[in-house]
Amino acid sequence: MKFIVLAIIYTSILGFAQSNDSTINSLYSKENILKFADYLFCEEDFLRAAEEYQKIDEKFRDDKINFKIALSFSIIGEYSKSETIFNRINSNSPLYQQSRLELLKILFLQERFDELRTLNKNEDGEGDVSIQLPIKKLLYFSFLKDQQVPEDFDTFTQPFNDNEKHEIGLLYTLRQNLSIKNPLLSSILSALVPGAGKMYVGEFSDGLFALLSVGLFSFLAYDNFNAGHNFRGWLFTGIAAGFYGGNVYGSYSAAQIHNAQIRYEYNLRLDSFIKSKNYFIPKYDFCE
Amino acid sequence: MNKKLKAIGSTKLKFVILLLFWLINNSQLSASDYLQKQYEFAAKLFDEEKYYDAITEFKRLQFFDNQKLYGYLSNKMIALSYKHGGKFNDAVKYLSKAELLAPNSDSLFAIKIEIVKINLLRKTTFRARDILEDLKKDTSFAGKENQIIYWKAWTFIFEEQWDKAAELFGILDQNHELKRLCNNTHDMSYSPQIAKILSTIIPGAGQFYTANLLSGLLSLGWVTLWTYLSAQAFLADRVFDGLMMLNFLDFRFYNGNIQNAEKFAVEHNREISDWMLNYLCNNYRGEKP
Amino acid sequence: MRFFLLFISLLAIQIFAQQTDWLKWEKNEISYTYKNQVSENNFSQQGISLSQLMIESLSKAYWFLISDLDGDNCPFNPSCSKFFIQAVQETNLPQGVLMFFDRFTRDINIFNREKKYPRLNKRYFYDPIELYTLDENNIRYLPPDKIITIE
Repeated sequence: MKFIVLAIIYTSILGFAQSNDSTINSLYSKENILKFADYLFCEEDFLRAAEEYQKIDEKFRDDKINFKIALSFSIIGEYSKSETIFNRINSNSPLYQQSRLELLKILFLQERFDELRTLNKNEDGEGDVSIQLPIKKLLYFSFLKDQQVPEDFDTFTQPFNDNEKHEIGLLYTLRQNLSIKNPLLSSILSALVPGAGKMYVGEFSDGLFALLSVGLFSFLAYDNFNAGHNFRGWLFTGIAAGFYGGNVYGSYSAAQIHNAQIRYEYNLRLDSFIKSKNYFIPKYDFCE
Repeated sequence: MNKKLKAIGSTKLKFVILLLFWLINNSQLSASDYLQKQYEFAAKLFDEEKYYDAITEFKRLQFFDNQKLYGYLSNKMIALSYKHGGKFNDAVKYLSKAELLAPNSDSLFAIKIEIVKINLLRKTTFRARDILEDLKKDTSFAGKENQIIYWKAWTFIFEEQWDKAAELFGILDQNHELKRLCNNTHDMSYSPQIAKILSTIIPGAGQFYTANLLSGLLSLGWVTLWTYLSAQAFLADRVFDGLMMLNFLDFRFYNGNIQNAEKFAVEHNREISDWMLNYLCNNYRGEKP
Repeated sequence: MRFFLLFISLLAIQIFAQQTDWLKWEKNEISYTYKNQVSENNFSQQGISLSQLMIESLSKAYWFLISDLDGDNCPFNPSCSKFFIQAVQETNLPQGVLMFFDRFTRDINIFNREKKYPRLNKRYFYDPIELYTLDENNIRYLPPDKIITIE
């Protein structure tokens, strides 16, 4: 009987110890944390996923885990955290090339184009083609983003495949022909003929109303001076001068706003294209 | 000897049976124990108002809860956490998940009411009323009519239709505290329509009605002045001046006076409503969103 | 400035709105009232210099004696008078006057407004001074199909 009691106590201790380690019961074992983090990652709950992966001791984190942490931070816009971790991925790792590509994507998203080009230059020719090509595409695409003039058309579109070439070609042509207006010219035109500058930047009705208001108040001033109403004459002169000056000034800002609009719309098109192409980064199979 | 052997045999058998029984029992208990502990941990974070972390732990519970023992509870708690974070759309998403896992009709009703409350908080009162109407038509919720009326009255509170809200609370109880509060708020409000009509008839009268005497006098003054000056211009045959003054000054101030009277009424009502809504939010002890 | 900040915050919300939990959040006190209502007569100035005090007093007097009583005549936000005051504050008096006259010309142009200006709370055309200070870095272009809301 004593034996039975002892045996039960012994097995219950054993059972408890087992249950602590077993995958069913211990929700906080390394394996279970990893499983839960993977689940969160695939549910696109990226901040929680990153925090969960980071609960695993650094010694036990492999490159895949670190890569997923960095990727999670990158997706939620925590670029500096992401950069630090991507940079730590060893050059011997199978994920090294992908991490360089992700780093380039971060530089692209933050519009750090000079760094993007330097980093790319340093690594030119390294790595296999499956990575070199996307890097080249991202680099070439970045030329459309900032103010640098791209190289000639054929060289420029060369890295892109047939599906991409059509839109890239269009974007290239658009980039070369953005209808940027000169603010100073717009102002000068309005100084010569009230409203002309606004018309030059495409604001026809604004230009017309500027012409009408300057014209009307100049006429009223002239008419009142003629009728000997000097006070009213000067009052209307002042108002006419205000409209005239305001229009010369406004034509300058109208050109600036027009240019901002052109760039905004062009960038919108660029962004929607590169997003649809996932920044030329091949899809990962982490959640398949 | 045989007896002894038999006795040893039966002892061993008893031991093996006991051991097996214990092992099966113990391992099952441990699994549900861990889930229970996880639920308590998540609930503790919820009680400590660490709602973001509470959601993480409820999600962990869900992930390891293969049999969905905590499906209803965890989804409800995640929804309530989102509610406390002001993330109402996410709250509704998880309440809808809880709805599918509700163990009985009472739980289902409770979830529906939670969805109504969230709709009140995110000011989609029409959606809240739609849900309440559906509940009213559903025979499985017979006997819960009073609760449905109660929450319908709250939808009118959030629309600041205090008289309608009071009427519904009155159906539940003629002396309902909320009926009294809603009626008081309604009585203290001005009618924007009356303010507009008064100012249309006599400039400034609407402002007088809303107790803005100085603005009323100023409005009356401006309209009188420009009417007088434009009349003078017309009488002196200065038709252009008269028209300009009438159009750009007299009509402008006359119309402005009507808008101004309405604005005072609306602003006053806004203040009264906000005061009452804040009072209900912070001080009312009964069931509330 | 308030609207500029609002715009920036809207932009930030838009970028990270795909997932509520991509940014860690805290408890949010439940409130039954609408928050951040736009005050129509907020001419308050920062700083206490004499000239600023004068501008503030004049603005308040103008608002109380005229602007509040002559109705809601301006389809823009900020209204023409507020645009003028903000323009003078942000730049200087002569530039503020020029900006005001330009705004006034655009105010009397009743054509194609909906194709040019974004909406604020579905009601006003949003036309902030930041677009007109001639500093290109200040210009945050907003397309006309955008509706800026203040809850």
